Amino acid sequence: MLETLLPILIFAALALAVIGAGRRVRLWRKGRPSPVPILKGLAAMPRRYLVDLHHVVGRDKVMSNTHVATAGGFVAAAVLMILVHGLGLAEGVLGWLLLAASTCMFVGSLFVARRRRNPPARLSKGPWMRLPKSLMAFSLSVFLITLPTVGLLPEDFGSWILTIVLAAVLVWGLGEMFFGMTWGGPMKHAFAGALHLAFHRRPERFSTRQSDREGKGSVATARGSTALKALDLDDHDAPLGVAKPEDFTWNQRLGFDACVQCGRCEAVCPAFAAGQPLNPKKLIQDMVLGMTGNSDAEFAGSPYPGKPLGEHQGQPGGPIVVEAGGALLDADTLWSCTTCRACVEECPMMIEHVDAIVDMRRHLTLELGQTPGKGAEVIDNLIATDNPNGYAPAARMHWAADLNLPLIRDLGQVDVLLWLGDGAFDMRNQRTLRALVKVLRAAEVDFAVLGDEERDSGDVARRLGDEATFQRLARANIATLAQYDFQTIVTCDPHSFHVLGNEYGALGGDYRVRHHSTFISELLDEERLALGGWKGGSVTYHDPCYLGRYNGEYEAPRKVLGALGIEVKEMQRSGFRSRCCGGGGGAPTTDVPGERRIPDMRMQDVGETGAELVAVGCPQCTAMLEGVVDATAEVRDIAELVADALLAEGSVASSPGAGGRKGAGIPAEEVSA
Amino acid sequence: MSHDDRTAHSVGEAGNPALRIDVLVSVGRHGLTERARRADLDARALELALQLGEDGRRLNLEVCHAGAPGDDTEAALRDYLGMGLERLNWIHTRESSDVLPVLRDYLRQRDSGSEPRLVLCGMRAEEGEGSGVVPVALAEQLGWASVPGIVAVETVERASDQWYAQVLQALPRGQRRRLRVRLPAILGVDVAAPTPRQSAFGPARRGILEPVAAAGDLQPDASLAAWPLMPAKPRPKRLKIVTASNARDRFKAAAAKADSGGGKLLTDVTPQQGAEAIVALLKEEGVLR
Repeated sequence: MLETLLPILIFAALALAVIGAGRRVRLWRKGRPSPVPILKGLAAMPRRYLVDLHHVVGRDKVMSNTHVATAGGFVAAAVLMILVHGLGLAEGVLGWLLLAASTCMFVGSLFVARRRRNPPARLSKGPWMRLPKSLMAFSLSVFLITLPTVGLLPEDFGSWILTIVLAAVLVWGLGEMFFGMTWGGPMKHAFAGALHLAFHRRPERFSTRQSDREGKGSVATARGSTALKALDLDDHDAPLGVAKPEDFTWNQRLGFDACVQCGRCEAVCPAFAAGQPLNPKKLIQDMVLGMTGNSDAEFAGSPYPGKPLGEHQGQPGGPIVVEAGGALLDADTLWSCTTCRACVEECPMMIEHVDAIVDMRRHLTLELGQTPGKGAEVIDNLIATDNPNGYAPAARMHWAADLNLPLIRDLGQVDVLLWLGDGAFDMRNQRTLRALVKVLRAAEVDFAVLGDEERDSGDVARRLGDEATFQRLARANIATLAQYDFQTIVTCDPHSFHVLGNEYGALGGDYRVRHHSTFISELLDEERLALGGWKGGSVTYHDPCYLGRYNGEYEAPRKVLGALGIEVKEMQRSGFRSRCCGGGGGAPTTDVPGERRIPDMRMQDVGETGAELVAVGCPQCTAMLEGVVDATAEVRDIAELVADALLAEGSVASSPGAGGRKGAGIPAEEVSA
Repeated sequence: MSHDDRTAHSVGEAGNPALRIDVLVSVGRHGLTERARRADLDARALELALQLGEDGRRLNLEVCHAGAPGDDTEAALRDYLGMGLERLNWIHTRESSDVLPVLRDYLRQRDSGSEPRLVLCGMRAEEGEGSGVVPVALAEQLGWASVPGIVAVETVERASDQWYAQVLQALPRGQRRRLRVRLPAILGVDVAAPTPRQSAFGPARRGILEPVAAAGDLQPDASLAAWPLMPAKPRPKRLKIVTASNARDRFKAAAAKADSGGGKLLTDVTPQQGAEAIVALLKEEGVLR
């Protein structure tokens, strides 16, 4: 009886799966066009899955092995099952292989079940809780129906009741694994995920054989792979950002569907931890709901803090955000994001949360004029004065009145262009800049500054959604830079570093940009700096998001600190898992209330290491961390630490550039001269 | 308070004619960079007008600028469009033209008969003479009421065949005065009026700048031509020396009225006596010689 039943069941399930797949693909394609190389993408998919995806999944070894066993077992079992039971090719080893594959899958599903016993808060429950049972149902029933095929059991083993029970379990398994894969069950992630990898809108995120050969360590930070995509402002018909779910490109929509709801993003999101109304996992699920127009009442994970489930519902062609609330999501959810990219870094499905958030912010700012908090004021200032705080552009160099900084306008050609950033207006960052100038002078670097010709890089404007102001600033800066001849841009601001290095390219500006920590480490390599030993207490280092996750620079700052004789006491969350200071993405400007402050949590991280000093490399991080009340550690920029440790021969000559030495009044920073 | 308590019979929502509002806008200049942008006070005037339409009232809103064509001007006018306007009337004049007769004719042309009618503008332009006289002079020439320092238009009601607006006028130190104004009226909007909404790029780019021909011949601005113009210098600020030793005294000093010693409070005087007192003060201060 089973022999006749099995092919019918298998091919019925397959047919349903194909129909579902067609429907799902049509749903994705309702998004805006985004050209991708179809065949090339499909060809690259296995490698992207086996190498890049598992590079991320592999950070959790147990889960990684569980997935290899379950997914590998399933794929093999499914193919073999179609051959053996569907087409009746039971000859030879195929049956035995099928037994092995289903066993492998069963073992994997046991581990899945174990994880689901006391699942952490970040995991979604709901239909996901039945997944291990479904996996077992599939693997076990396939195993059992194969036993007679290979002759381990007689063909007519058991009664007809057993056969019916077995068939029922098999139907359950097939339903979950084949039907559910394309009709919206938990297994949807396999189908959507595979295509998402093939048609990802950032192919540069993935490694290639060549990049592996050349030994580029961090593939995730290949040049430009973290840059926001530019809007085409010349096309007056193109929407300015995303207003409704159908404004996303089709492959973005496909990406949302790939989410496995593992909640790794939720676990690392600083806004979620601070109790601000953002949960990256829920955000992606909301985008999925938006495609079909459902309410979020069925969502089986953590809600946005402070926003109960069931009060929001989207429409496929309706607005994502309405001012009164109650649409797919509320504006404050979008504005809570610090664009720290921790979610993207953690996502095993390579989903681009930050892109989606900025896309939706663009609509709020460019179409609705609803940048919250001080956002509108910051944008107005950028438009009128080219800096976010509305200072007179002519005051940009006041901090360096006594430093005699050479202007590139006077020289025309230098090795290094020192990009000051808007920190030039900030008294705290001016100490860092002075320290950096002192270091550059000590190393006899041929450098100059743009002076009043420099404008804001456009980072904040872009992340507040004002692409128009970003592009205006970027084009103006590119035009200025085009007049001069320099080798490298050095900056102490990772945001400028990222924007100049990665985002100006799309607008025609290609530069060699170095963060000051990288540049100082290069100077150390060339033995152009003589540094004294470290006499202070214990030190930890805070990785800025825009230096680390955005640009993959984790080594240079640590190398510089090492050269100072500092042994860095690492925080639990450091390197690519570093927790944001809360200062990125315009978050301090939009200032969405939460239960805690993000910088407070980061300073807590610092406190847990027992470090007396936290070294930073970013003006935003400095400002955010120094703003923490009752901090246990002092905040110093790497440039300041290096400047203080300089073994200066003619130390008097450069003393005006001695950084925060006088201002800070810190006892433990005697310069050994 | 000159709040009038006569019971005004407000017309039912259905029979309510649309409120006709003209907002006169000018090109502003940023204080530090002198870049052209929407003028702050005019933007506040537009914001007031837009808010009047948000509580369900039918509005017949038109926005108008009189000025010479130019890229800077266009960019600044688009800032107003970005606040959510579909179009903005632009009466093209020459650099040296007097906008007063142009605006007067424009407003007169668009007389709407029985509709309630308001004209809103900022109290003072950021460019040109910036004398703040335009609303007053316009009202004088049109024979309409003019009220400066407006921060809110509360109601527009009909009473015995006349339309009246109840408005809030800003006085120094956060005081407010409620006034009842017969329409049509030209209201000069104060800096204390609500902050203008953000100007968004999309609507600014889409909005239409509708060229409008001036009704009569363009006349040169005689007074502007006669005036020497020079960059403004920041006025030196008088230092207030506070000797208070505790927080309460410091607060009182900070909140106290500016030096008002020597002033006179005149009550129940004839207009003649009042005017004489003002002239005497102006002479004393050296304003009149």
